[in-house]
Amino acid sequence: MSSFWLRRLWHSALTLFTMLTLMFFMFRMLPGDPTATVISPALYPKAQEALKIQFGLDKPLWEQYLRYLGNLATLDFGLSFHTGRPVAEEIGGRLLNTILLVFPSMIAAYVLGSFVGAILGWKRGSKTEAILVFVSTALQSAPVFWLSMIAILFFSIKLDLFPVGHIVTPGMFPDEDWRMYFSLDFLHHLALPFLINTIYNFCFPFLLMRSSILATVGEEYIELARMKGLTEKAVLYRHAMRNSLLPIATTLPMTLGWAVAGSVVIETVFSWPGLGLLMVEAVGHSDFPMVQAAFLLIAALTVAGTLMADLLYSILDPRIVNH
Amino acid sequence: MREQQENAAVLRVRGLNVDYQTKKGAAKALKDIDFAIHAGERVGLVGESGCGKSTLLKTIMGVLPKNGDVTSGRIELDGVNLLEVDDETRRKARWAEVAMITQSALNALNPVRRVGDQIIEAVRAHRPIDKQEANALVHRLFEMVGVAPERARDYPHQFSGGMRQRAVIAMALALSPKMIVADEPTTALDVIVQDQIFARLRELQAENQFALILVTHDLALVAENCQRVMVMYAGTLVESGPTEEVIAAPKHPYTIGLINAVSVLGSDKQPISIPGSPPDLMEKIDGCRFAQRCPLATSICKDQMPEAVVIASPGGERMVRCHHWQQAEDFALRASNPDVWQSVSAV
Repeated sequence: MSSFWLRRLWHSALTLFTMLTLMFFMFRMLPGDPTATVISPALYPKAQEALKIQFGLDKPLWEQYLRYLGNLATLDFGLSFHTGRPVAEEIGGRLLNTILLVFPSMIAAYVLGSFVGAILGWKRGSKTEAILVFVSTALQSAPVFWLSMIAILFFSIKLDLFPVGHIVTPGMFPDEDWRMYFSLDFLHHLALPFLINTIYNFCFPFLLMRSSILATVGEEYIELARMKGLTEKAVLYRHAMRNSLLPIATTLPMTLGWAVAGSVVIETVFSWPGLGLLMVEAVGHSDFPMVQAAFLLIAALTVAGTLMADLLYSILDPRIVNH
Repeated sequence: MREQQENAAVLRVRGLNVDYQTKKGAAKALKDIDFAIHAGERVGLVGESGCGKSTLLKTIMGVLPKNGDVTSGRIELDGVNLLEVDDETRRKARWAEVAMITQSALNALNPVRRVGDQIIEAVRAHRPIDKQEANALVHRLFEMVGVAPERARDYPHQFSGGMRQRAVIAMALALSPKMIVADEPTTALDVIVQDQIFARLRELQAENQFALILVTHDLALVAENCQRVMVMYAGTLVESGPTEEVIAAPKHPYTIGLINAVSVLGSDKQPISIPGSPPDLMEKIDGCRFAQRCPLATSICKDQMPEAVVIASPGGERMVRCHHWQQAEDFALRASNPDVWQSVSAV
């Protein structure tokens, strides 16, 4: 634990604080009165006034801001305008659904992408390489919702292999409690969005690893490793791939934060009740506390991801910490 | 005597030809290379950049780039032709039999792995070794090359240039090879560190009796460190023999030019460089590859590649590849006049 880490932690905290503050004032600068959804203009002015006092909206902005910070510190995100239940409770379950969909597929995509990219880059010039580079570039430019819709059309509707959407068959788990996550039905529903998300996210690490390996192949330490009598496999995995992992390791944790944000699209198409779908619904309902909390969560995840990337990088590349 | 030497050869290269395939055609990087290195011998290989020194080393180590083709010849290590054995035998011969001290120790060490681990890795590729034995070995090797053993856990960037070079030497010694090839091992270092490292290398060579090929463009370094010298020009060996004899009485015009080009501290002798540049290896050259720049060149030199002439000498054997080698002595006297060289390039 060096000054490097203290500095990195301090930067993360500062970034997060800036985000919180921007978020608070941005929502209050938006056109329209967000309170209109809760405090109906049709109410008697006296009742409106009473409600405003109840929500603390009569206080000056700086006092509201301080209160907002205080509430956040105790993880109190307020009540949803739409359901009236605590935001933290609503988001908790939804976040789990998103994580179950996004994280495993991201990790699968990165592991697969790295290995395939490394092996194909190592044996430069194969036909498989040419085809896969073309397909990956094409896939990467295709919108994920289009990809999802094609997949649903083909696998779900035409072949009837997978359900069209949702996390479990509606009505099968009326309470939607933990038991549903351990059911085959859940896995059946997870399969298609998982597959799409994996394929879509495979392209980036694949192309990155391939070009990273291509840049490493000519390095002198690779030649020396070969001269030392290491097997081709050992040269590839222990030297070429080991060193080419650096750019991948930095992008993976950062992408995890974005992936949660990016899940909006895939969750909407597959009606997956995750954070992304929740945000879309909340925006539709003008449910400001909910949207604000969701945004904060994504910001926090991104900052945490960046910090994790730095941590990983310093483990993988000893040259970093010493500076 | 000759028979005995033949038997004691650790490495024998015969009729080696290597081409690089390029889009424009084949570049003849090595042409008819023949030489032998005997056990415990220190041999210098000199020549300008691009003359094929590195290609020769890569061919010996078996790490030619994909476009490099050995078109003919043999590389015999203890009588076994390395160009014919299967990949696994070839792999096992690397480092255990012939190790290498690379040109740039900074780039040759993997920046993200500990120096000690990289040395042990070379051992582990050839035989199992447990952690304790590995630590002891690295400890001993570091002491041998003069680096504090506890630095073995450091990463390359924590080492100075001289220490890195010493670490690379330690790595070369790890499996007690019969031969070590040093490719310009100290070019990147200052003269004082260079001297220290060579002094250590000579001691280690005397103790461990490995054969050493020192590849360099620095004749002075060869004069100080090697018993024999081989001079290379544009992919051919033009002259070889005992270092003292070759430097005192060179027999090839190129060697004469090379010696003339060395500046001597404290002497008023001006170094003279050889005008012109080596031939384009993409072109088909029938004659002597040095003919274009050679003041002694006649029509035969342009048409016919000279055969290697072996001359008996007090220090062993000398070889020269020149049609006019008998005029060398006379030419050496004239060669210190720059005009002699200029007249050729003017033609």
